Amino acid sequence: MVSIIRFLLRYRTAILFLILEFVAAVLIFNNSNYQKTQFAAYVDNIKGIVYEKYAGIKQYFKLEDENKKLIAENLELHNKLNYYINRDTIRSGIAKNIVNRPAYTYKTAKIIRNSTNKQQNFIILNTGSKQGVRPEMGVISSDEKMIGMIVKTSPNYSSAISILNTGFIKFSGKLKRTGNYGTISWNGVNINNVQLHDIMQQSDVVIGDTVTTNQHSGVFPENILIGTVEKINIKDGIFYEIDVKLSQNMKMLQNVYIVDIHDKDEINTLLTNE
Amino acid sequence: MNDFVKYTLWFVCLILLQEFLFNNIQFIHFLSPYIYIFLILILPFNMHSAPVMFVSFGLGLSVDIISAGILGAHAAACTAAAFCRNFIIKITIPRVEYESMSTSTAMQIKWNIFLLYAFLFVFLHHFILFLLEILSLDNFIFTFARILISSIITTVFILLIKILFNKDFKRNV
Repeated sequence: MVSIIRFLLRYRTAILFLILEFVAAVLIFNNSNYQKTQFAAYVDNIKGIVYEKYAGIKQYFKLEDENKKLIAENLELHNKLNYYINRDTIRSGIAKNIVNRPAYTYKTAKIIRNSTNKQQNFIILNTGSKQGVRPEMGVISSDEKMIGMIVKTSPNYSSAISILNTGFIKFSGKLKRTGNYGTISWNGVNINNVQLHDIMQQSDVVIGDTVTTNQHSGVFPENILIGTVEKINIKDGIFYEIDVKLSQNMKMLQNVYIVDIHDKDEINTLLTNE
Repeated sequence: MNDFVKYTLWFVCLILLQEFLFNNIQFIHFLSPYIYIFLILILPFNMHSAPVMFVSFGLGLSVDIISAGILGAHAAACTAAAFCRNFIIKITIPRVEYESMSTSTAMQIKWNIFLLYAFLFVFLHHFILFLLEILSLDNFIFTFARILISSIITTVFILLIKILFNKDFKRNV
């Protein structure tokens, strides 16, 4: 106690200085909007820089994996392209009156922060409203597996709700083989599993079936891979609760695509008018 | 005249002078002399830092309130400058001057010594004040030029005030 008092007495000038400056700072930032926003902008900027640097370092150590993935993806795309080129030449005569534009486009983005250790996990991406990102756009991994959905955007960054988020049940999925669809949610237990609900108990489901997105969500294109059926739980009532093993390792995410479904608003107005 | 009354008079006069005369002088739109800190300069040399900081904080806050700028900016700058006052005195004024009993305030030292002391102090104050006002390092060269030129102008005015009131102090001390 005595030494504390001695310390306070010894540095009384410095302490007084700090107190007075603190009072002045409180006055400045409480009373002036310019100073307040300027200060907030600084803090945001610094946070962004730190997260981005950190993500950059992490990315460096994962380069090899990422490269392998890119090569595989390239190969697949080449194959697809060849297929379409061949098909196009055959059908070019009759394709004239078909509306010829893509239903959706991808934007690339880099993950700067991602969590999997909470019940409500979010992903921060380095693309924002300046680059045309809007809420309710889907986020998929670079090899086209479902990850999450944009919920909030700032000019240069955006935040997406991860599929590993217990507070969210808007994703919908379907069994690719039979076309039965239901809702996807996460029970917060295992980060490799999500649950597919609302599949009738009479339906034809076997372990190993592929689960993909369906087009009803308006967030993802059709047939984006979610995972495979791992376990079929029989619950009270008429529905199954199906454990789906995620195809995407949510801890290994770096580069992602943001899906911009065109004419979404237009389609939604039609839906609400019905 | 009692010291306390004398400094209170200076306090009031300098604030009024600042608000009604110097705040209206604009040489070029971005140059502004803040002469009110003359009060902190002429506080007795043997005064301890803590009371000097209190007086400075009060002085800055008063100017803030009267001039209706950013509340707290002058207070912050004055407090910081006051915190460094003893150090500036030590490096600019010869030891014999501020330790002798006959010269108790900066009013009584020669103008050429006073000039350096005042300029360093003013520059420190302006540096903090202007940066607080802008709160950005964009265009720093321009900001620095503003700070430097304003400091020079303020120092000149402060020197004029000192020379004008020199006699008054000699008579009273």
